[in-house]
Amino acid sequence: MINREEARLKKDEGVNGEIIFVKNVTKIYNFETNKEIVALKDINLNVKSGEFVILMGPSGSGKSTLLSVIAALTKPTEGRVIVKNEPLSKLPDRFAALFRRENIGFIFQKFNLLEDLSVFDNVILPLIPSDISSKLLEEKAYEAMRKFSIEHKKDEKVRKLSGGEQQRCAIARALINNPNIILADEPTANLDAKLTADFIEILRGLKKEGKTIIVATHDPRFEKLEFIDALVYIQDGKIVKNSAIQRVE
Amino acid sequence: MFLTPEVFINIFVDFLIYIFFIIAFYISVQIVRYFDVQKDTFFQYALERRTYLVSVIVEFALFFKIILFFYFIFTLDKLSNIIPGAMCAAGVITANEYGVWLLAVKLLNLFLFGLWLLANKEDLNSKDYRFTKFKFKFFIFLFMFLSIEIFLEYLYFNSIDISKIVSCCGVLFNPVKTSAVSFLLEIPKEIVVSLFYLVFLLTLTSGILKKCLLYFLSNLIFILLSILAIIVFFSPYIYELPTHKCPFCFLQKEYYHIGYFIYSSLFLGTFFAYANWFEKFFFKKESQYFKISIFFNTIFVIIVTLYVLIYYLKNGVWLF
Amino acid sequence: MENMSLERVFEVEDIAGVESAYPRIWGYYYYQRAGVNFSVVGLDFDLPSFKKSFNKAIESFGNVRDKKFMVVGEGVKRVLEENYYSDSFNFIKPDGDFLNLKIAGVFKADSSLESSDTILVPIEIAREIFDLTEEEITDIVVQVPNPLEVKTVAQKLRNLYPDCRVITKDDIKASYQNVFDFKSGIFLTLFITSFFAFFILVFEKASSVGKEQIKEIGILKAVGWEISDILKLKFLESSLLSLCSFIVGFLISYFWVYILNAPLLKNIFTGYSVLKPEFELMPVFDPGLFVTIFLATVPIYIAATIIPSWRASVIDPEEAIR
Repeated sequence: MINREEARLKKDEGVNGEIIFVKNVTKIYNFETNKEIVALKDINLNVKSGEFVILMGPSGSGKSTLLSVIAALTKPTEGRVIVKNEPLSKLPDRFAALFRRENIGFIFQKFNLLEDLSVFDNVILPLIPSDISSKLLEEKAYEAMRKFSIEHKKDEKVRKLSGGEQQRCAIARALINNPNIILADEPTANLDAKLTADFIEILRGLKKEGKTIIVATHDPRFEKLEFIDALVYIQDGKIVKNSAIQRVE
Repeated sequence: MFLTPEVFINIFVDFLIYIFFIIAFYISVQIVRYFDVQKDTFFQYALERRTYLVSVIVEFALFFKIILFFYFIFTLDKLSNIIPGAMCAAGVITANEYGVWLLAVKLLNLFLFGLWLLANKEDLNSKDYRFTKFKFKFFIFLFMFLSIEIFLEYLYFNSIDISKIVSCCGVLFNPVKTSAVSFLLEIPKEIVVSLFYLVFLLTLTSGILKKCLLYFLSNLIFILLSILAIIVFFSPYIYELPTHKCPFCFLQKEYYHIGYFIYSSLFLGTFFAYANWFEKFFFKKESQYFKISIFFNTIFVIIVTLYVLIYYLKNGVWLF
Repeated sequence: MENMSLERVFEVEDIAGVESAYPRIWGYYYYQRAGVNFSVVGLDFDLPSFKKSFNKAIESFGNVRDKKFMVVGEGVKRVLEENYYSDSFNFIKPDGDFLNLKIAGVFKADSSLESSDTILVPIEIAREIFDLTEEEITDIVVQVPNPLEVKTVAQKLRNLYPDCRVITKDDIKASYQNVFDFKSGIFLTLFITSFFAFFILVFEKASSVGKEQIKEIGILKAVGWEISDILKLKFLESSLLSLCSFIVGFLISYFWVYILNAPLLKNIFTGYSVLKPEFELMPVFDPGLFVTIFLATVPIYIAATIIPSWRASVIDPEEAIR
């Protein structure tokens, strides 16, 4: 099973097993107006399949923007992003959306749930545009909710949940399609120590499943994790240090 | 201009659609000139976003244009109460020289709108923007036709003169009178009917054998022949009156609005025949609309044939 | 206006294509006490007349031996009752004498607009009321069975009697349509202003896609919705909204016109020639009108949401949720 999964992944990778290529990416907000803000300057970054990468840097350094560019949530002002051999930044919206839906799970800092909907409705949001049967849809939703132990709250409105429950709901939503790339933007900023520890355990499990994970954070606890593969420091939109961590397998 | 509420609504909605078409036209020209997938510029991304606006505008336009097309016929019927001499839309549409052209262009535009949306679908489903420029060149073409339609519509309504007596359908579709189409009406109806059924058989055969080009061409002839056959042969059976030849009267309530069904099935059937060829020729796609096209064409033929048969069964005579 | 002689009836009957011709007397009678004009129509009650509603009245009262009776419209009946005439009415003849007529019945026409102020009397009585001689009539009702011959017969009559006005039923229909369309033309022109006000309002409302909504759209796009999905959602929203408000508006207008009897608006359409006997509006449903109003309101609302919806749908999800 794992081998087949690996073989499938191999096809989408670069020569050295890279799954994500960020090539000369520059991102300028309010481009060609007098309020230009340069968020990323000529960034290059490769991530291999199955790697766990931590993006560190102060807030406003551009790490969130970098994640957004990788997830095709925004187009780079210049440069290209290639994920699983797809030129993501050049795809028409329909295909970028499809790619995002099937391959990328994004966990946001503020969870970004629709607060007036129930947990169940929030979790199935990514599946609504695809034309899968409602039976399969429910199956997938229950599986994801069970995995992140939020099933008992499935009919509850999201605004009534605690922070930790909201976090788990957001993760269930991000992972309902079983994507193999997981991006998390400041996932623990709104969590206390206990919940942060829980979240790290979830990440450890995902890493074991062979997912490629990038976490943008300035939480120092992540630096010390034993299962990370690379630490990338960003400052003022530039990568200042990229240290691959050699681990004994 | 004789401004009845119905005329006003026709002009108003068309004008509304046209305003949006001008915006879409401007975008189309930009895209045809500057769209380049290889570029990573801000302008290129802006153009990519604007392509969606044009699709929305055409979808919006097609939806209301279909309603408006039938509403236009309804307007003509309503005007026939006011214009002296007219008894149905036929007299009103021929009240001046623009009417027939206007009706033809309106119908053509509906077909073009539909084809454009097919092109749009193909474009959205291709990963590399292969058809984008084609789609927008086609839109410019569409825009030209809509401009012609709006212009004709203005001329038409503007030059309707309610003090001028027009002809009713009894006169118009009578072969003795010399009008632009009267030579067609002089063809003996036996020939028209035989041709009608022959061409229908031809469409059926080419459809079943999936000969795309032949199906397209035979449907081009079929739609024209159908309208002619309705005038000279089928309509008297619908009216149960040998002298009443008119392609409009049976849209009215007295005939249970059957005309709307007859024309809808004919237009849908032929539209999908054209769509078939359009997809194959421009997008190299395997034709997929044979079944639906044959279905509607057959319904059309069945409805008109039933009128003839039922009349014969009831009265025991043919209207010759 | 000069009156015609009765002889013409027989001349008209001889014209080819005419099935029958009846004499008729028609005139206004001013009833001072109520300040009202009644239309008095004198008919030969022994002959079938041309109008269905009149016919009905004649059928039920034609056998009255005593000719001193009348059949009145609903509006007349009401006015008379207000003035305490419950079963008969005194006409004042031009020579000052009273003429007492029994109310034999009330007739109903399809629309009370045409029947409300009408009084039907036997033709002899009408002559008395308007002081006409035996030979004088004001109208001839001509019946032509074949509709295709109506125009020809009308032309013949015009040539024969240049002093008469020849009106066909189609002419009456056309003139009613003309007057009404002209008035609704004015009405619409007035309302174009309101239309544009409506348009500006709609545009204001629709263009300001709220911050909350922008964020929601951003979230949906971030989890994998494409632009077309968002657009579908937005148009579903605006179609539902406009369709519902259209139907609600339509129902309210029915309530306004047919239950409240159209306050304010009635005056615009009936103009200065308000018929004093009140008339009731009969509820009708006209699918054509339904579509007309639909096309006057719904497209404009949907059109107003096109650009805002598109703007919202193409927004970068990243910017929307930041």
